[in-house]
Amino acid sequence: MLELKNLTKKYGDFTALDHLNASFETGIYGLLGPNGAGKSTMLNLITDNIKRTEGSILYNGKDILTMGSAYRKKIGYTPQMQGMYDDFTARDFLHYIGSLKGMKSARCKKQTEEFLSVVNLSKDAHHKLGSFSGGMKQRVLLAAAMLDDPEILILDEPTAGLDPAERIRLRNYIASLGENRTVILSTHVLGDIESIAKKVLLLSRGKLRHFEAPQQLIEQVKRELARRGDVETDNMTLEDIYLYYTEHSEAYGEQKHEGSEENIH
Amino acid sequence: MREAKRIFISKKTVFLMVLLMCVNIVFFGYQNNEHKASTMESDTYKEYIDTYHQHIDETIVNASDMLSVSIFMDEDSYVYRNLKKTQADYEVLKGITLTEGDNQEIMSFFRFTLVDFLFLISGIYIVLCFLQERKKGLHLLVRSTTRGRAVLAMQRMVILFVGLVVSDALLYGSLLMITVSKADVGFDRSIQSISEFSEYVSRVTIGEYLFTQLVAKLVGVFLLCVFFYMLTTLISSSLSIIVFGLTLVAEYLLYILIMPTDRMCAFKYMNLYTYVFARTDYGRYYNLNLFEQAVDSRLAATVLVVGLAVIFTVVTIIKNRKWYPMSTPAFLRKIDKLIAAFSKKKSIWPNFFWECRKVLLSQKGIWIGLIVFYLAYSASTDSFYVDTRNPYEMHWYEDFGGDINEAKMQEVTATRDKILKWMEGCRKNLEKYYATREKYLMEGRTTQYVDKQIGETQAKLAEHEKEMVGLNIVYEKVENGLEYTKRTGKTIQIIDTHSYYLLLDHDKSTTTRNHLYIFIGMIGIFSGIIANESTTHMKMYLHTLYKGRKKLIVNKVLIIAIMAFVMSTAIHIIQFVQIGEVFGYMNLNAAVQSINSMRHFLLDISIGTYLTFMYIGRGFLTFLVGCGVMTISNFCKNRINTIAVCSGIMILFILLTGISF
Repeated sequence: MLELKNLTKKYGDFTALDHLNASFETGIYGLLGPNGAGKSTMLNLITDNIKRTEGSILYNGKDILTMGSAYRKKIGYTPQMQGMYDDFTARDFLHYIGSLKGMKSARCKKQTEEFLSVVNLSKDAHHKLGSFSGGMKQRVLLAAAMLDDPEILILDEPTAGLDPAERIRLRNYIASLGENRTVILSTHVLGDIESIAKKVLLLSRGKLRHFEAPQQLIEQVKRELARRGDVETDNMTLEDIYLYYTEHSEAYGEQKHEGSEENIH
Repeated sequence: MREAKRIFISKKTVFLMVLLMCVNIVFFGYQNNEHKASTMESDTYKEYIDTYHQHIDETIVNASDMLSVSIFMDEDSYVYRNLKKTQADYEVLKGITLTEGDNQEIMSFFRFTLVDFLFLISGIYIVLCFLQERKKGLHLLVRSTTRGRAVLAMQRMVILFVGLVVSDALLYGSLLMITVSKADVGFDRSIQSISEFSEYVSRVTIGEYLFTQLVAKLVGVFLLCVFFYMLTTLISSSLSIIVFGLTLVAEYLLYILIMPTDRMCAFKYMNLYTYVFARTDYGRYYNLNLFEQAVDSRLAATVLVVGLAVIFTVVTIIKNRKWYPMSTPAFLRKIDKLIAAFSKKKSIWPNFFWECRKVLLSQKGIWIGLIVFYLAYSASTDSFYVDTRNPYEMHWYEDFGGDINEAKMQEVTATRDKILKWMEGCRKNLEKYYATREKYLMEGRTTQYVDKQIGETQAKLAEHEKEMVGLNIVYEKVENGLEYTKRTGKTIQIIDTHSYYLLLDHDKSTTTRNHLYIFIGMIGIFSGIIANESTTHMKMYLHTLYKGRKKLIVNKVLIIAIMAFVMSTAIHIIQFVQIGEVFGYMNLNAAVQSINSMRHFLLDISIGTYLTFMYIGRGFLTFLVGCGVMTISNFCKNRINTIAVCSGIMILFILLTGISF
């Protein structure tokens, strides 16, 4: 189990993440929030890429900082980027990542072919990454994250740039991954989360606003907004909630900040 | 205009030009000092000036004489035409005025080949700028515009030419300015006033010759760059680099392997390497046999280079108009399938090899290393090491080799006394023979027999004197050595130390220059070792992996260590081998204190061990420099910034320590 306790990250006076508390068990967790909400900061803290200002991140009760490389052995990460080594082929890249994950040769070779097939890149595996489109690179990164069967998968926009058919195929595959591991999925494609996420984390201005199952979240937000009476809540979807937060994050953030300090699980 | 602005008004271009200029000037300064020793002595030069017209007349007469020989009289043969042409060409030089002057500095300019490589690098850089759009995926957008095909290609040809003219002026101009500031070259003297250009059969001044050569280099490098650009429009960029590299290697091999007398010598003279890089060969007189016609090799090469430049330019423009980047020829698709099948069978490498691949192949470290090694090798000149040792000295080393002790001293002293005695005997005999000769002359008798005896005795005495000079050096060494042995109780040996003096002390400038090459190589190879992880956005991603932190850095450090020792050894060994070829290394097992300058060294080790440790130490120093480059690479966002910072630190270090070249 992965636990975030009072997790805070400050850049000078700016608070990117403010006393965040959450715990993750097996299943898929959707991470939502407008730009600048603190999603990337949270993922970078979970992957131990940036130093936290306050709080702790525990994996099975142990602080990840004390676990060091043993913790990194448990995680698989798909960053959101278009860089990579252009002169490596997709297969080379997976072999390289396999070597950095400390995998045995035979297992690395087997899993490389397996995951290349999963992300539908077997035919292009011998081509250089420099010739790949953004979507193809994203799929290579997803395959790389899955190498060595990590217990925690952190996926930052894994379906960005994919065509609809490919997106649906991968979404279904990610859904199957959530059966026996923790998957934290950050995305702007709300349809991906709505159907497969066990719970949704809604971040705004560095604070965790909601942490519930998608349907519960919709109901709760509907109730809150109905109480305020400034918006039509009938037939409201997760997408509407996301858009509402994006447009009103500042005002809503202030109100919640004053009103609630409860821990959300 | 915008394309020109994009290429020329960029930080990268300015930085590259400044870097090339710095390398150019620093190494020119070094070569300038080194070559002064080997420039023609003034007496020989005076004799050359005085006898030049005689030499011209002789050449004309020789050609004329040969024409009267029946086997050369066939008017349709190459030999006949060659002799006729030689006669006519040398006639032009009759009555030419040769003026004495300071040729040292201008010859340093003519001999400096590094600038040609730097000039080529600047041209290739401009072509790579043209290809940037492909790398960034903008080529489809560019090609969809009205002026994005043939017009753009034409503009690029002009940009390339203008860029090369500027680069030509900056690189060669800066060297000429240094040359002019050091000596009065006398550009209005005829080029034949420099002995190396005695065969140049045109009435031109040094200034005019220089201008011609610089224009020739400009056209030659333009041809090479257009050839490279043309290749990139015909085949993939990576394949173009391979084909271009192989072409240069082939031209170089033809240049060095074919002798001037070979039947295939057309490939030596009508050769791009000769045309662009070979310095004094450009001024050589040689008539090629082209279909039995005698054709001036310079003229033939110029026609070829200009012709090819025009053809390649036209092909590149046409190809750019019709080039479709998305199309893949059928044969390439077949090759692609084969590669796909092979790729699946690829074995898994440990992380270390992947890191090696990134540094050496992805970041072109192997090419940088090879170029630096070639430059270091071509800058080393074994003619610099001249064996001026007394041959008898060597003989005595062999005779008295071994530990220095009282017995050795006695042995050397006894031999010395013996030779002195012989010399004394010779002198006495000479006196006697002279007296006898005098007497015979008075008596009117023939002195033939006495003269012979005098000659023989004089030769014997001269031989003993030479033996004595050599023995005195050895004697002095034994005397000093014995004093050292008595004082310290250490055992040292009597050996020839010329090569060790050069390696450890006298040839410091070569050692310093080698260090400079190695450090430049290390900066070039490892500037991207971590900076490239930032450029490719992989840095943070790698941090999330099991072996993506300490282990990754350990592997990178290991590569630096291996490369540092390989680079350091490969470049320093050039000096070691060249000195060894001239002087040899006598008794590497002797105590290091046997070398005079090493008497104060504390450890009791052999010369061989000391040299081994010295080269390991140099390797370690190189390793530290590599680690420094890696540290800077970690803090810089990209490779260019890393190179800039490292170069800045190196230049500052040179200025502060006052290292001279």
